[in-house]
Amino acid sequence: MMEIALLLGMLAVTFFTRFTMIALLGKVDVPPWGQRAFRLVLPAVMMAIVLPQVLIKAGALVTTPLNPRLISVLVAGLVAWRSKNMVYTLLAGMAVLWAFTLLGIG
Amino acid sequence: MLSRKTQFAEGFRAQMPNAPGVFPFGMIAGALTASVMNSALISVLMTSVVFAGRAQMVAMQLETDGAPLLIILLATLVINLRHMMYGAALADHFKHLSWKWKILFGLLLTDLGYAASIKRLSDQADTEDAPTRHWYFFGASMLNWIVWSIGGILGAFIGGQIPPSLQLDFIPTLSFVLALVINVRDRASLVAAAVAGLFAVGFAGLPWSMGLFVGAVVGLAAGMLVASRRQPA
Repeated sequence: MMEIALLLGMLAVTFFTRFTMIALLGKVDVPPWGQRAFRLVLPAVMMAIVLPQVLIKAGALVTTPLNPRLISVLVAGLVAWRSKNMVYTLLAGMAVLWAFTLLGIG
Repeated sequence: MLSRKTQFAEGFRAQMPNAPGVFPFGMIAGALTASVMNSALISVLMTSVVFAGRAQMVAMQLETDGAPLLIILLATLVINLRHMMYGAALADHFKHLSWKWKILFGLLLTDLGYAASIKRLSDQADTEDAPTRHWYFFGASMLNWIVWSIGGILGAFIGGQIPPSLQLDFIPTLSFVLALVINVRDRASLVAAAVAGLFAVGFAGLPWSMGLFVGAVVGLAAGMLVASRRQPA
């Protein structure tokens, strides 16, 4: 029972966040400043997801420069910039993590 | 005008390069969910129908910690609030559509689907292709959903055998790096990203992963400020 409630609850909440704006804003014309703001949504949201994953470990800020996840993301970013290719980006980032694991760091 | 089929196929194809990021993410989410939920059916539906990987991972962690239902749903809400920003940006492109379409897109909207489509939707907005452009978004989203669901179901059944030392749980984060690199194109977007990241880190201690939303909103505001200075209205 509990699990069904969790499933339906998560579905309802998720649908609410996805559907509301598509439904409500569908009737109005968006002003130019709004259009400009939309262009910034992706960079802002994605960095707000990525950076804490990289800099926070077990609730605390990682301050050592030998942070495997930080180096992984930097290398992946460089590869992404040069290649614009998802597979290369993922492989580069994961290779860094695996190298650190093999070396026993982090 | 591009046919609906062409738009769908192009969206579907445009999203294929993202599949290597989506698939392992689905597997990890499916595996985690199956390890927490007693019912295999519920865990498959959770991955496939709810279709909200990041929220799902956090929800399963909270469930493991014994958090009450209301708290788990609040966390889901806060993590998914970013979809409202995506929805706001998409609304203009979908306003000619019926409720059926809007409900469908209310089920299918994702980070990477949005990332793959928004430029194309805007580019076609004032062209003769505008009436069918939602099919592009539909195609991109469907590819995401199919790949994600297959990954999720596979993960639910064999995910327990993935060694943790592979650290595949970092793939979802890495899959955003490419989208970031592509979308940070000028000073305003750079400032938006940097400020969002710093605030998200600064507020990482907030409950229900609220730091994500705080970071995104402050970053957006900072980027707007830069954009309006450079381009006085």
